[in-house]
Amino acid sequence: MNILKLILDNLRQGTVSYRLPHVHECTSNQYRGLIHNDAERCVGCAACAYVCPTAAIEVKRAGDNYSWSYDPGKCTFCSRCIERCRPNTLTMESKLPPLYSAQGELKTVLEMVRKRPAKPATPAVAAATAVASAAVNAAAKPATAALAPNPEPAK
Amino acid sequence: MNTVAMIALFVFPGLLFAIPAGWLSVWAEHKAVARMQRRIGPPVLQPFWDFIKLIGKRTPARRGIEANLLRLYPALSVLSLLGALALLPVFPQSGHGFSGDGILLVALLELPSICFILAGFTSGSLFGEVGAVREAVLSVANNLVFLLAMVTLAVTQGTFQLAALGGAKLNPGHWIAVIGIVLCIPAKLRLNPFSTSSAEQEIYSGPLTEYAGAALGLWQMAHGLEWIALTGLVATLVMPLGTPWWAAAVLFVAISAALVLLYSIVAAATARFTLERSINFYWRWAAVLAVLAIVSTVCMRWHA
Repeated sequence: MNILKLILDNLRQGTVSYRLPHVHECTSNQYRGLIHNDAERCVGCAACAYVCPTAAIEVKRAGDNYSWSYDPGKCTFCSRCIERCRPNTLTMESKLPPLYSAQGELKTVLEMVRKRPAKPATPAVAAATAVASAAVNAAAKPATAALAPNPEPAK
Repeated sequence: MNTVAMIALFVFPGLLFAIPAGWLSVWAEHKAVARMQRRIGPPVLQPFWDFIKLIGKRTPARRGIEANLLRLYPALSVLSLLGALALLPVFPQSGHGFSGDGILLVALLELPSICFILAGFTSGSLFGEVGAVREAVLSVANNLVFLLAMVTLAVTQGTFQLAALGGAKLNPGHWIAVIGIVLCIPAKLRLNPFSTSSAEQEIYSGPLTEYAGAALGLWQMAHGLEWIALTGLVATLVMPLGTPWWAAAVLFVAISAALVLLYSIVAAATARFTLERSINFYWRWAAVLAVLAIVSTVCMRWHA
């Protein structure tokens, strides 16, 4: 008869579920909610789209422009995109996702311009640049020396 | 058809009363089970909106006689249950019954179960066929007890007329037979622990796997009507004699509601039996009760 005692206890303690859509349930800090992308810092590498197992994140390129889209309806909240994001522009909300009634209602699309990283100079170009800068420095040195205060005598 | 019979069929306890009351019973069962499991449960109009939603749905097209049969079975179930409800002697003084209407009631109450089995086989679904076989076996198991109980009631009064069946309140056989019927109802309603034929998790609701849209809505309506017809049958059997019509109506509703609560508690408190265990329950334990009822009744009649 333990089950009857359990049922009585359940009736006495009240419900633990909530009537939707009035949900104000607190979540932990580690809760995996909707994904946000910081458009200012995103470099458009598309690593997030590459690792996304359900194609919830898509990146479409057209030259230097690209669109980053995220569909929570497809997302499994696995957080693989967060782990692979090198510039750390992706974050997950720690609150429950809102309810939605139409397919794709929560879909986010960001239109951005790709920020190309500065290319490291090749050795030949680097040498030429070094010579040129040395010449410029040498030409500027007398003027600089004239303007500069007298160095302190060695003690 | 006289006026009393028309009222019984279309107003109370028939069409106008039974359909909303059936939805209310289904809701009450879902709500009670939910509360016992610490869930909030569905709102009161949920079965009604489910029906409206299903009626409006477009379903995958089926062709041939199979499609017509799959539409026929739920419609036949609803009609037979409305007929069964019209036969219930809620107001025995009105005298709208006839000799042998108890036999017709048993047949009308059994028709939905037969339609359920046929629907499973006609659907061509593996899950439907498994569910249909389970329902057929369970039906044989619980009907042994149900029929013995009904025969006991008939023997106590010497007639199969429903209006007279509730008359032998002083006979212990009458009450044992009523307990037998009460034990059979969870199997007839496919409730836990006798829900093997419509197990949602194992066989995707069995014979209803291939159903959708309006036909599924009719099955749900038939299930609600089954609640009212079966709990109403018990209510008419235990109702005190000579009750005024208004008190009879109130008692009918109150006893039905109490039974809904009882079956909800049983459904929440038990897990699903295997088919073998269900058969064992009816043939080994409940059948003993039913045989005891009929033997005691025959002995009492012989003694008298």
